[in-house]
Order: sequence, then structure tokens, then C-alpha cells
Amino acid sequence: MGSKSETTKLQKELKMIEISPITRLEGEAKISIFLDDEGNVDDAYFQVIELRGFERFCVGRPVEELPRIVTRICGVCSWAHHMAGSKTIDEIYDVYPEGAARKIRELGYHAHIIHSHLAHFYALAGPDIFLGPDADPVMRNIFGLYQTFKDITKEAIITRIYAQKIQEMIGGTAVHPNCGVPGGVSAPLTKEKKAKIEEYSKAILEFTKKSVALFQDTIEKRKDLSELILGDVYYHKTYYMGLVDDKNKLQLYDGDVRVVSPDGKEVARFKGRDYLEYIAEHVEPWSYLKFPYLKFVGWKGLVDGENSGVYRVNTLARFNVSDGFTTPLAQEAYDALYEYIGEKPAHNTLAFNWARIIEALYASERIVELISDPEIMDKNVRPEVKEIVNHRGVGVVEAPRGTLYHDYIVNDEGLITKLNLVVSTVQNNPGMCMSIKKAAQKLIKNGEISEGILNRVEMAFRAYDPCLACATHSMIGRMPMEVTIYNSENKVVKTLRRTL
Amino acid sequence: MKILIVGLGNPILSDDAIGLHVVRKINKYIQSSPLPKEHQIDIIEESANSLELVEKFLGYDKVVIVDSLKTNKLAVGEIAKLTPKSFEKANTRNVSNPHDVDFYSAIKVLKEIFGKDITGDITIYGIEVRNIHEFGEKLSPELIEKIDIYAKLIMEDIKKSVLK
Repeated sequence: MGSKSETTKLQKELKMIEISPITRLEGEAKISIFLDDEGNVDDAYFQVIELRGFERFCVGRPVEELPRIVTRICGVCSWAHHMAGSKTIDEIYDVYPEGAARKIRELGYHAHIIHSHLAHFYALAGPDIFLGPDADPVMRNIFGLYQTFKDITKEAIITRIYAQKIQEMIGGTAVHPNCGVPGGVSAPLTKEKKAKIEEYSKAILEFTKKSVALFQDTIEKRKDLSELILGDVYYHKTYYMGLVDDKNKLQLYDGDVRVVSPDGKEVARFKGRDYLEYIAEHVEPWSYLKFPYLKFVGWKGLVDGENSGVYRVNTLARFNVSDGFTTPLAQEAYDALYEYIGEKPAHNTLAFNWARIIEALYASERIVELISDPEIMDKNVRPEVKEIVNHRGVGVVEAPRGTLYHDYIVNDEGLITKLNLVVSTVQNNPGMCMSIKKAAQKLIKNGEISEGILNRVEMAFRAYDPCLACATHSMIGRMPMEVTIYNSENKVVKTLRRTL
Repeated sequence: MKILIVGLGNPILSDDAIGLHVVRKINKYIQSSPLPKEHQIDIIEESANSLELVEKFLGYDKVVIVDSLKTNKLAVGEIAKLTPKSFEKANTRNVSNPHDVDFYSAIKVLKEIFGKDITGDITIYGIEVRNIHEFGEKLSPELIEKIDIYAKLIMEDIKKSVLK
């Protein structure tokens, strides 16, 4: 290759187009808001295109490959899928990680939680929190945040890199880990890695401590933010679900699934493998996403309250189902959150963001604990595995966005015959739809729709940190979110392509 | 010059993987026809989001990204040459996922933080694709037959800019 004539031939064969700027890329997620005759909100819908064929892709593949394949569902939640997949094959082979193996898995996973939560807290929710929901949209983004709060934004980015390096050291690669094997992990920790992880963990803990203090300080000083968190616009009384240990302390990697009612009573507690006895899925003709609900309460539509089976997962849900944390600093921050909110469960959707940064603090304390434990250096991390023991396995973890279930069925040869994944964003689909509708109804009046108002509607959605169509890493910036407003004659009156 | 070539995409999401296939082919060409040795080329495959992706650019003088593109305005198989600036107004500030910042903002903010360690010389080759909504390992036929051409074109373009 390389001759002039060949290049010319190639160029004739395939024209390279130069387009700058791109004016439109395909959109796959949208919020549709319908107004009545008076210009008030009659209804609002959230829709997203779901990717197809993952189950078909997996059927017939050896089950031990699944923890690596499932990381490709999503570049954001890859660690959560890897851990859920690894726990599922633990059940299939009936061999469970102990000692160093379990600690190494937890270490990588808690680093992932930190990495994910810091991204949301600073880059996505941060501009609304620190610059305000009505700030100039040109500045209301990560770059604007950096311009206004240089030091803390820079530190957030660097701390995320530390968390990512820990994930990389444990998982093989940061984004798509491959360390989970039946009953353990593929390799023990080396002294060099331990030393680096100790250094990064301490720096991460210092930063998350500072972040929690910063948030608390901000809501003390900013009455507008306090009103948004505590007000009715972002308030829904629902059931909540999350993992807890035997003392009801919040857990991310393992535990019992606990469900509490809108008034905080425990209404279910079960092992992950029994999830189908508690969760069912409703289907709506206008949505690709399903609407999971609590079977024992029933589907009553997109409404909140004790008689509706709608439940929520994610950070604040985990707070509501638990009695706090096993680590001291996170526990202190947990108590401060409930003291401020004034009730438990807390039903304030915007407090998901607050709970998120407290959970990052917990994960930071946890990685310091784990790396300081001498047992983590034990070389015995990969037990001998012989044959399939169980033909069904279920793995459950708390993904950054909420409870995640993996359910695999295999044949005698260990090949997948069926699988079911219940992801956290789908479980929050009813909650997100309700939150968007309520915020739209409360904020849009007489057909007046400003950019700031639409941003406040989206804040209801953004608090859930949703992960949509998450395996699609086609062209960077490929999935714009569209907000379309229709009048009472179903004619489009406004369309905005929005920051999320 | 230190050059980073990134194939971006999901290997099991049908046409989304086109960038990965192209950089594998580029790798073969570089083996058989290397650039002068003062130039170092690293080739990686990634499915990362914007911030994680841009963090990988640290320390490189030139970055080349090959990815799938879905504008529905180009014919399937057509290739577009873009720069980060192309995305400034493309989709307001949206991203491949709500849990991420957009590519343009990620470059802008990391450039502010890391200064010249994040190069300004970034080129993106986007290949218009058909199927990115279905899991599978097969590419559309009109892409398979052009992998070789994409790789040659991109390498020619890189050589032109490096050896000028």
C-alpha cells in the first residue's frame, strides 16, 4: 500500500466525507409531554429503545464464559454485571469465594461503585447542585463546573482515575473486568499492587469525606436547593428494595434482598434466587421497557402509595431498607441525611444524589478496610472446580443504580439454555415515569415552558442515574435525549434535544 | 511522534464492532509497512465512555479513533472524517448514555486539567452502520467487504499527516 495511484483508486472506491459539525445523530431516548387545552400537563411519557437479542446471543454458550460476556451489556455497569455473573456461576458450580478471593472481588467492586458515583455526583448531578438548575445551560455541565469550582472538579476527575486504576489492577481491564471465576478470582494480589491500592484508597477516602462535607455545607447555605430536595415536586411514597446483611446494614456485593413499605415496615426478605416469587413485570404498549412491580401488592398503574406495587431501587432505596452502614463515617453521614429529611423512609427523589455521595464515602472506607486486611494477600483464591452441580444459578448485587439480578439455566454440559436479567434501571422505570410526570405537572403551567423548567423536569429523571441502551457504544455522542411537547391536538409545539 | 489508534465499539453488538475490526486490520498493515521508527504507534480496542476514553489520550501527540456512526443521512458503509469540534453542536451535550458526559465536554475539561498532555490532534473516523440494536458478532455485508479499504484509507491519512 501507499503508492499514489493506489490511494487515488481507494479514494474513488470509497469517498471519505468531511462533515463538521454534525447536526443530528440518531436519538433513542425521549420524554413526551402532552398539554391540555389550558396548556397544563395532561400526561408525560418516558421511552427508550431497548437492544435486542442478548438472550439469543447467550443461549448455547458455556456458562463459565457468561461473566465475561455480560460485561459487554454495558460499558458503565460492566463491573456490576461481572459480579452478578460471577456469583451466578458460583451457584451453578456450588463453589463460593472465601477469604482473599471474596475480599478481592469486593475490593474491585467497591472501587467501581466509587468510580461510578463520583461521575454522576460531579459530572451529571453536580452542575444542578452546585451551579443551580436555572444556571446558563452553556455553563451547566462538567466544563462549567470546572470553570466555577476548579480545584474540587479537578480532584474529582483525578480521584475517579485512582478508582479506575484499582479496578484495572483487580479486573484485568478497568471497563470490562475478567477476574471472576467460579468460586473465586483469577489471580491473587501482588505486593506491588497492594502498595498502589493502599496509596489510592487513602487518597480516595480523603476526597469522598470532603465531598460529603461539601454537599452538607451546600444545602445548609442554599435555601433553593434545600427546597427542591424537601419539596413536593420530587416526592413519591413507594416501596423500596435493596441488599442488607443479617444486621440490616447496607450491602453492595452480597446479602438478603429486603423490601420495605412506604411507611418503612419490612414486607419481604428473601434470597436472590427467589426473586421471581416477589417481582413481576407489567407491559405497556407505548414502552419498550417493562414495568417491574411487587407481586404481592399488584400492579395498580403508575401511582405511588401502599396499594401500588411500584418499588424503587438505587442509593436512597438502599438507605431506606437498611439500618445504616458498617463503617463509621458513612454511618454518621447516613444519620445526618435522615435528620435533615425528617422521616424514614425518605421519599425525596433528589436525595438519591445525596445518598450517592454518602455511599461513595462508604465504599471508600470499605476499600481501605479490605486492603488493610492481611488475609487479602493469601494466594489461595481459585478453588478447584469439577462439574456442574446446579442447573440454575441466580446472582444478585447492588449495582450503582440498584438491585441487579442474573438468572442462568444450563443443561448437563453446562451450556446456557435460558437466562433472565433484571436490571436496576428497568426496575426504576415506573418510578422514573412517575417522577417525570409529576415534575412536569407541577412545573409547566399555562403552556409556559422555559429551558430552566425543562431542566427541572429532567432532574427528576437524572436523580436515578439511569443507564439506557447501555451496550450501544456506537459513535460517541450518538444517543441524544429528546423532549417533545405536544398541545391538546397532539401537535408538536416544542422539541428540545437535551443535556442529561 | 507518539500516536494512539483506538478502535471503539462493542464486539458483540453487530455493526457497532466495525471500529474494532478496522483497527485490527490497521495493526496488520503497520506490521508489514511500519512508519519510520521515530514514530510510535499504539493500537487499542475500547468500549469506554467519554471520560475514560479521553483519559487514555494522556501523553500522546496524535489520537485516531475509528467508530461506528449512525446519522441515517449517509449510506451504510460511507466513512466520515470528524474532529471533536464536529460534536460541539451535534447533539447539544448528549452522550451515548445518561451516565456520562459528552465527548466534546470530556476533551474540553480534561484539556483544561491536564494541559498539553491531552493532545489537540484528534481525528475520528465514523463509519455509517446499519444494525446497532441487536446482539451478534456478524457485521453487515457492506461493511465486511470494506474493512480492508477503511484500514488502508485511514493509514494513508495518518501517514500523510505524520510525514508531511
